[in-house]
Amino acid sequence: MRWIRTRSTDPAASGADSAVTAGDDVFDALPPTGDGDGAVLDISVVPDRETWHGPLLEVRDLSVSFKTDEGVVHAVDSLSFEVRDDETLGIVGESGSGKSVTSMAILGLLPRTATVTGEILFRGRNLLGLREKALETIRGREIAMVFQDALTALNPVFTVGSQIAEAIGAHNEVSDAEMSERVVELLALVGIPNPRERAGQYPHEFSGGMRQRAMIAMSIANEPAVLIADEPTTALDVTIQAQVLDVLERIQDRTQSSILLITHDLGVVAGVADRVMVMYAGRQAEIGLIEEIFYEPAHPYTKGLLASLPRFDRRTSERLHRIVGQPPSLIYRPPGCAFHPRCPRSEVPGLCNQHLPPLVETSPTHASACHFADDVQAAALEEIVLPDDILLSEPVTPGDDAPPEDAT
Amino acid sequence: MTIVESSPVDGAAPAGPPLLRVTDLVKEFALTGGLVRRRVGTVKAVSGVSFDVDRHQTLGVVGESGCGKSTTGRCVLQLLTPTSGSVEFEGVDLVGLGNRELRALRPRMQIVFQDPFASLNPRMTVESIISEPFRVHGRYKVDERARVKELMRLVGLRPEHVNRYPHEFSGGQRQRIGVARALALDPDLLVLDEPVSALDVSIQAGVVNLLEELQEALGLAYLFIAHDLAVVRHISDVVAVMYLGKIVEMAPSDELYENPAHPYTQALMSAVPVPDPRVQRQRERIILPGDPPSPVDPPSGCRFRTRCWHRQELQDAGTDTSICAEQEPLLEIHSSRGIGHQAACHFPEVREVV
Repeated sequence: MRWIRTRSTDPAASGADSAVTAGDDVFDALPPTGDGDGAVLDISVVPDRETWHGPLLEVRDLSVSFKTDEGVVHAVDSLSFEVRDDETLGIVGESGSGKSVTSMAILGLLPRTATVTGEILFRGRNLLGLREKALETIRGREIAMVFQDALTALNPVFTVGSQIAEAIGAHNEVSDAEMSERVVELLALVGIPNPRERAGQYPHEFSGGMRQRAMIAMSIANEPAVLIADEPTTALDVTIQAQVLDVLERIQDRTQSSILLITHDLGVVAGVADRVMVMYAGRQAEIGLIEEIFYEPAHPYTKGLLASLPRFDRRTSERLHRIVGQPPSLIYRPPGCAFHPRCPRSEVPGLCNQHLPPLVETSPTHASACHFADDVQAAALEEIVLPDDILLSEPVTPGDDAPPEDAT
Repeated sequence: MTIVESSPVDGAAPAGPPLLRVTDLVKEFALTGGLVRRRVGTVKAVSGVSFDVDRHQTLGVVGESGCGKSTTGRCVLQLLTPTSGSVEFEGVDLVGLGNRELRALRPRMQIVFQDPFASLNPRMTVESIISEPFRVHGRYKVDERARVKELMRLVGLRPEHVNRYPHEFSGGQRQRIGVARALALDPDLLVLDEPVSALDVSIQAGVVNLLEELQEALGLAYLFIAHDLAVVRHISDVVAVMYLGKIVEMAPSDELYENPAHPYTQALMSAVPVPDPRVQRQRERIILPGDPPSPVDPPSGCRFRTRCWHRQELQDAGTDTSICAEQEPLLEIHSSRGIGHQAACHFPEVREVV
């Protein structure tokens, strides 16, 4: 299964000079290898897919904060969730909701100024507090990342091929010939035409969509168990986005990776995610199966967010619903539920504005952090969303405009 | 031959010329290279675009990056000088107009930019930002402060924040400042270049609503340029789809979204994800191969033919499609649809993709 670690050569896989096309079964064509055969790094500390039966990735009580001149930014606050085998978990939230910080924390890529507490368990092993060296055996091999901006993520002075080769070489010992063969296979797998020729080109010679695919090729080079895709299509045009999402789907079918898809685009999530977690101001607002989140949302924020989207598949002449106010400052976060200043259900004094709502299960797979989760779920949209009032304007707390992502 | 006249407009169709009429607009940029900056090619950013926009009306222009939609907007305002074609504002052609005449018309057409972080001077207070147009156009007699406060109230900002600086506002509020500045001189036409793309979803809805309400109250005409097809459908009366410098399809909003006839429009729409899992998972995506060709050297005939899935289908079925490469399809009324639906395709075929 872990074909990329093998050193054995198969003439069918590496000898043929014919260009591999995207449709070829690259993974299937490669020889199966015994466990540990040719593995360069000791992974015995982390159980593999066969021996581990718990959740693949489990985040427990994760908090991340940054000290700044203006105060402590609480980017992520007591976040718990898990990623299961072969699933796509979508993390949805607006800028400053903590979704990117969460992904950086999982990979251990946060700057030293960040204070991180909690546990991040990969197949039962806590990644937080692991030494850099130990982390390196997991990062890129077991958990890999596709970044939003491929142009800055790729190094402009190396060819695309050599950068993908570097990703392979970091975890495997392979000969040069074999390596270039694998690079070509990977590029073909993500649908890049003329992969052999393209491997020798530099990132600036690739278009935006191609760069993003090259990044995906790099991230799947070692067949990771978890692929974190942080806004993988945000910088792309829709027709190119469709191509890239198509590639991600195909890759997942083949590698059975779990995907953690971080995005602000509810449309993208609707198309690919199995479960969705909605984040607001660094906390979990709601988590559930895709259908539960879209059709039975139990948090006023989720409900408002869905209602504020213009639909391009429907005729509408009405105004859009709108969530009043602004996302809160992460330095001066409102007490109690962080959403309460914008929430039409927060009229009960002394509850929403003082007590942090616990995550309440509305079904075995669905939980919402709202004091009125059941009510909200049952209520019609109009009762939850305030009518639009354009003359309503909120004061802004100074420092409001510094999303914590900027600090990383 | 423009569709705008026949499309539903509030009230009766006005007599006389439309507020804005763009005819055969072309904009080319010289591509220079080498030591002496010799001209080595021409970027054909906009290649013959025509449309009308009237008061109370919104023309949405959609397309992907590089299709020429922003260049079109800038040519309309004469921020870029068109290579050829005409831009008539109330019947007066702006192209070739002297500086003085143009300056007299400028207050009546304004622009709102995409990035509310870059388009406001960080060293100026909100008051000086919004009142700058008065000074630029020599309207010193206006009671500036009162007018600024009125404008702030109009766009949903608190008038008491008049002395604040842009950094004290969030993205959505900054965009409102940009709108207030554009409205300062009572314009008739606003060019909105991706006005909500930089905003978070929950903030975006507020700005879209604001624009709609301002249009109703002030009778503004909007040229709304965006890549987000959902926002464009919501706000536009008529939508034009651009590809590689040309309008490939133009129709009243609902007609275009429900009955797209051009293969590019169909592919574009099929690619937009719908935030509804059951709907989204049943939709068929038309995946276009490759990337748009370079506007330096656009394909002959139909510019979309190199990526056209419909042409491929026809070819596979044995139809002769050589006309696509030989002859440029004109933007014409699509026969089987009602008046007001134009598509530039040799083989238009309505297909539901939404």
